[in-house]
Amino acid sequence: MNEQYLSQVRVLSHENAKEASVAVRRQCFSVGQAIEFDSEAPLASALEYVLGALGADIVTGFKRLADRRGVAVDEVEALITGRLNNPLVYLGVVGEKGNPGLEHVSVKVFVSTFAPADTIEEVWQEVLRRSPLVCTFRRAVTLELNWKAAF
Amino acid sequence: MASLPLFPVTMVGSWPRTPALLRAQKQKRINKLSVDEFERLADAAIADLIRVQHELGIDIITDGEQRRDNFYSFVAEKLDGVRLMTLAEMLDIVEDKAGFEQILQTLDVPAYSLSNPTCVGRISRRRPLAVDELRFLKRTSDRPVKIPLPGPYLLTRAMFVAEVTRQAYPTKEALAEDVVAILRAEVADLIAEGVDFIQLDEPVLTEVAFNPGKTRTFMCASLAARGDPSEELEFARTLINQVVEGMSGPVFGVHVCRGNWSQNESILLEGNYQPLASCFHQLKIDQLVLEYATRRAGDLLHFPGKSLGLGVVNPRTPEVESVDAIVACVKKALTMYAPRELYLNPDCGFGTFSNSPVNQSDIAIAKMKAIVTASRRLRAEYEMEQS
Ligand SMILES: [Zn+2]
Repeated sequence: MNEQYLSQVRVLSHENAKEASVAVRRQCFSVGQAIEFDSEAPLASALEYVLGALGADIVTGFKRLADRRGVAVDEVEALITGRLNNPLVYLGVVGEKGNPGLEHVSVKVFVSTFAPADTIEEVWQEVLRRSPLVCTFRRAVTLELNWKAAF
Repeated sequence: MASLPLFPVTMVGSWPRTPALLRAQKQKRINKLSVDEFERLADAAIADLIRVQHELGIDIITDGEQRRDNFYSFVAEKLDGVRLMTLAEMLDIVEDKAGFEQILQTLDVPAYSLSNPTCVGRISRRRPLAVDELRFLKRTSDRPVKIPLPGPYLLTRAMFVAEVTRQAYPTKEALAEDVVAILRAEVADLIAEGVDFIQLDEPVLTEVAFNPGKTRTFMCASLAARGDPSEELEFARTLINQVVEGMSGPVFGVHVCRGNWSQNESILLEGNYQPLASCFHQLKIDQLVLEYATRRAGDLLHFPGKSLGLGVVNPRTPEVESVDAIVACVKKALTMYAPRELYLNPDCGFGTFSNSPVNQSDIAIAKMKAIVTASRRLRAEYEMEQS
């Protein structure tokens, strides 16, 4: 297989069970446990990283593809909301049915631009077609994708 | 001010901006349009709006806050020591990111679209806040004019963002002293230029009183941690009274509503003004400009010794209130207030936040027209009675 098709990170456990270190190229970042219920927890959870990654894919893709088409876009911001099938299964609550996986993910993108809506719509469609994570999520969850112009 | 007829009609403040003006405002913000060019465009928009008000028969004229991005953050352009920060920037700074997230989701807006005038150094007036607005109004209209100003409590609460303000002011009380001084200087200038009505906007008071420690819904206005409601109201009252102390000439009003950022009535605050009654009683002002056009406002209360700017239309709905309904609302108020004590206005502005107005101008015009028609009918009835 062509090496360019591969993507790799190394993930190390930590003495604190709620933390993992991810080594990637020349940097390292820490991720919390799979799902975090404690609002004071210092680390973003693995689930939040996944949602954040999807959002990052979309906002950077949007900027990049808009630039390439010469469409002026000042800001792009995404709100990503994931709904789990049943987080209680993750917690091991006895008698709970289902699975702890993501079932539905909604992506709402705000775009600050003076460009006409149909121009932005074209950029948006290209973003979706060319986004690795959108294409992955589409096969795994019901994915709801919307954009709206907002100054 | 030239003596007003009975039931004078006025707007609370803001009016929807035209797409062109909105675009110009954004371009000014990113330095793609000069301030002078923007002001020229705003002059034209305001001249149009003044013409509309004249034609409608509105008695006290405002400029629709067309030069402002919203009713309070515009001060960042005029004050030293204050920087307009988007919530996107503030998310990096403040600890309580979840609180911000709640506001954004409630409002359904992106973080880059909300800006807060944040105190980042000792504050002082680089330019007057609204004297230019007043001069243009006076040049363009011969009727009495109203200038809305952000109130001292609102400004202090919005500007004090502990993480960055503490380098200049150790406490919100210390910042408030300078806020009061700035507003007093502004009020004195406005009086010298012949202002007829000064309205201090203090919309956060309802959130303080109705919603202690709960959801923060007021855009960025009350981001800083709040204390005990009665202490907060005491703080607000003290500041407002300090601003108006010894000032005379114009009508001094204080406007308090329950939020004007969503057309969804169910997420706006609810409850009558009773929790604010003792604070209102102690304000040394002439008029309370209050919302009474929705069910959320609860029963009409009497605040003796003050006139009432009676909110008679909901600025957020597409349906235009009937003249009969407005007349009925005023007649109810007349069981507590003398005809002389009632001014008629919408519950709030039609475009509080320039980038998310709560209505479009044709509907706003129709609503103002309904208020004027109601006022004329009442005027005919009660002027006769009084003569
Ligand atoms: Zn209001």
